[in-house]
Amino acid sequence: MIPKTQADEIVIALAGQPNCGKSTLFNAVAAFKVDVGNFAGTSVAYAETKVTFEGQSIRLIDLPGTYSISSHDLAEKVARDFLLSGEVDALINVVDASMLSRSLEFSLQLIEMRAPMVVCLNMMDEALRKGMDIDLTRLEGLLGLPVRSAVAVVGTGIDEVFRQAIRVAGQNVASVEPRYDLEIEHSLARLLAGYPESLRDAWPHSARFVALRLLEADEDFETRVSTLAPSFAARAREERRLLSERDGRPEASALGSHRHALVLDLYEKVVRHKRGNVLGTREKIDRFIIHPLGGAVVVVASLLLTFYLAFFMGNAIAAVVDVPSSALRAAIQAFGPGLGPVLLLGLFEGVVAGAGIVLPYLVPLLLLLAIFEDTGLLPRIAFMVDGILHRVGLHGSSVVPLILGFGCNVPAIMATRTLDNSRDRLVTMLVIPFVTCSARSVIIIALAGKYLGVLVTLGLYLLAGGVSMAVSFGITRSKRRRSLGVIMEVPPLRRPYPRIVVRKVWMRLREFVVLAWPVLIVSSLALSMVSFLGMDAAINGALSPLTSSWLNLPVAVGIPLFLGLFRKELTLLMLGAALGTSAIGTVLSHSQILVLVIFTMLYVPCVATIAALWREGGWRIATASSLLNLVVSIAVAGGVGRLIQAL
Amino acid sequence: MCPVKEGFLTLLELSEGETAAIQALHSDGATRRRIQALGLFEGRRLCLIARAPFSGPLLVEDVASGARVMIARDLAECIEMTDDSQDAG
Repeated sequence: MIPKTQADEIVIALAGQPNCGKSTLFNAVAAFKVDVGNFAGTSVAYAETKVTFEGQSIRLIDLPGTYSISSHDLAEKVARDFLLSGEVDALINVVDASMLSRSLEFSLQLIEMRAPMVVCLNMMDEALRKGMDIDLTRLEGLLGLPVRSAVAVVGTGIDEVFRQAIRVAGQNVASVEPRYDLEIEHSLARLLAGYPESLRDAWPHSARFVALRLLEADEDFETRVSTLAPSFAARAREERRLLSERDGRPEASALGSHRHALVLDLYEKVVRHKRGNVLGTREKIDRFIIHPLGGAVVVVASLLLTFYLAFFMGNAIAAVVDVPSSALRAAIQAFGPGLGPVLLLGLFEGVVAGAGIVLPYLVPLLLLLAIFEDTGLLPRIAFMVDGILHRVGLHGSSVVPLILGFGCNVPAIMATRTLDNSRDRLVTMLVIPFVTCSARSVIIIALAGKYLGVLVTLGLYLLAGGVSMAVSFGITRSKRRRSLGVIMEVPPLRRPYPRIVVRKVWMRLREFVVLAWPVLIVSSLALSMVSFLGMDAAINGALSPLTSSWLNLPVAVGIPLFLGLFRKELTLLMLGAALGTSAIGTVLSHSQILVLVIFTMLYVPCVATIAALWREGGWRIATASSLLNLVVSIAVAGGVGRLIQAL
Repeated sequence: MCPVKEGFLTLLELSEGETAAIQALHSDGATRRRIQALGLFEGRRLCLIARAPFSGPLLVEDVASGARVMIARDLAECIEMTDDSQDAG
């Protein structure tokens, strides 16, 4: 929920297309206290922060990136509804100046929405490098609103953008509304003449905006208007049909093509092209990455780098933490039995698990993920692997959710909403829980990386990939049907800015420290209690047919695996506690560690993932997914264990 | 699956490095808007940069803006291009 605004505060929202540097701008001004919340009733996340700028307190909201306000994407709809809610005092439209013509399409749509607004031309350095000379004064005149330039990654121009936003906040809008050709304007005039009161109540500010949305065949508005004022919706459909007939274009383009013409006209008026520096080196690197062979090299090299970094950095940090923690543990154990020392030990193990086990491996992973994101490597990987995914029956657009899944399965499942086709969405949702999320990576690296070596660790990732593909192939084999594929932007390669990468890592790390660590500590305490009361034997006993008989593991791993359902990292933490030592290698054989890691990697994802599946796809999918993961993990882990015994 | 008539050039058929303008988008509704949201309108000149392996998507560049978009083959098949080797450049 978005909290209420205080009286002396103004609300400024950042809106812009994906990859425009909106979040960089947000992070540049955000105070250290950033809240990540969801829009009411949805899973669409936004970030917000409170800042004071030149004496004015501001609630700054970073809306999800949107290409257009007429799109069917849920995030785009939510962003638009928030802008229409009247809660926003001023809007900063962040624009990638180097992609000015495409960005202006969205700017014009925002102008049609009639919110007080400032245009921030970000990435001006990029535009200059491309040889674009943008006449800001002219653009300002043509749009009728303040236009300021900025380079958010280095922090220039931002102050002035905010100064302008505060100035326009809550004022009457003076921007120049785009005027279409006569036919369209006549259509609009006819519609506005009979604009129903019921709609005026629903969207108080701009009737023209609503009429434009209908002419644009915006499905969302169409549905809403059809319920509120059916006859008006019918008239709008008729006007749209006439326009589309006149142009000989489909109805979805009845307005869009004309807006595009307006944008081209604007663009020609304000941009002069000089001979820019040819982006030689960068283009060469890009060519290398999107080359089949080069791409494979880059993908494998970056994976190796990730593991090595996580492995060596992780071990180095863990070693530092290990010595004092062992000493402390011994000191606590010296108190002897009793509830007090048991609880103290539980608390202590929880703290140590965060500091000594999870953090060392999490930091390098987050670091590399941030670098991948900031350089634009992720969409290039998607480009390279899309064809393979098609082979196993996955939708091309599944690439993005699947890649997100390596971070965390929950946002990945939410991202399946961008898939138009319900079958593709279902398959992707069922495959995502098999994608090794960062929590599971932590376990793999901490156990397999430490005891079984880098090659086995890499092999485990290959196994996970193979299992995901086999699952997808198995589900889709019976009902193969063609559906429309991926279309997505591939932003230029950019060099990562250390300051921004560090900030990103910090934000995500803080989430772990604030949210996950306390859970670890509480769970550790609970485990101590369970153990003190002698209940652990019951849980372990119930799970022993699986753990002991089938997987050939010690009965004591029952509780760690059970707790892994709540948070996967707990398995790792509790393993040490349950086995009575953090030196797992002394208690388990290498083949046992391998079986344990494979099982952990594949069995039912955490409660949060199941909840996300439930919310997105219903209880049937959540149940089916859990059963699927359980069956596959039991089969694969048990199979590998038996195979090793046989050899 | 796309109503592009026989004999017309589609985006899918461009060779690497070749440039042509979009003649028509043979799709409607959400798909069409999605394509347009990424800046692919009738009249825009596109250059085919690369094809992904394993029958993967195409990487195209909007020549005027330099923006790059990856687009699946089945979508590229719905985009009719002008066969304009005479006025290229």
